Amino acid sequence: MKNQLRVLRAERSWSQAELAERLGVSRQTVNAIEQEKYDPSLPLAFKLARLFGKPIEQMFEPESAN
Amino acid sequence: MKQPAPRAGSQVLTASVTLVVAVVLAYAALETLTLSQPLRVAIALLPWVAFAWFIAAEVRLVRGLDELQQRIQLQALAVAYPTSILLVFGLGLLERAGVVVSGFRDLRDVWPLTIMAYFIGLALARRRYQ
Repeated sequence: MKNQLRVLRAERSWSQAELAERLGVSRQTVNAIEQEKYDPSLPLAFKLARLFGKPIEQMFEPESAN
Repeated sequence: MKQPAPRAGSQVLTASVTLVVAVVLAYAALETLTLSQPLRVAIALLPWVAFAWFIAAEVRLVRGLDELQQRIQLQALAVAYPTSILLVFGLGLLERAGVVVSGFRDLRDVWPLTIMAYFIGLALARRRYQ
């Protein structure tokens, strides 16, 4: 799944560690999501969406429309 | 969402070291000392206490991990568990077939390989998400 996390984090000048702390996850998890190597669970995805004040569908996009 | 528990890792390490020491001492005592049967049973059961502590520490550690870290642990166990079964049955059958596998006497020799398989699985899973 594609996501805008790196861009959104950069806009707020947050480090990965800072974002991880806000989310209550490890920095490794934030990094894996940013690199699109790991798709977060629905609760974590909603938490990200709330944190960045965006609808979840604007933050995450499926790889293909099929 | 839970924060990773920083002390949980050191508790697992302490519990695992205690477990290994308890097992080694129990084997040494049972093989070298002349003891009454009830005492032998008590010594044989002693590592179980350390093992229960180890399991409790491990469960606390995993519960404190976030979702990706839990997935990584699962993938590490997915390597370690079947590898252990393979080693136990594979080496056991070879032994019954009369093949002497160097360094393998009985099940006591399998657990270091199990731990090694776990760490190999852990390294592979971590690399996948780096």
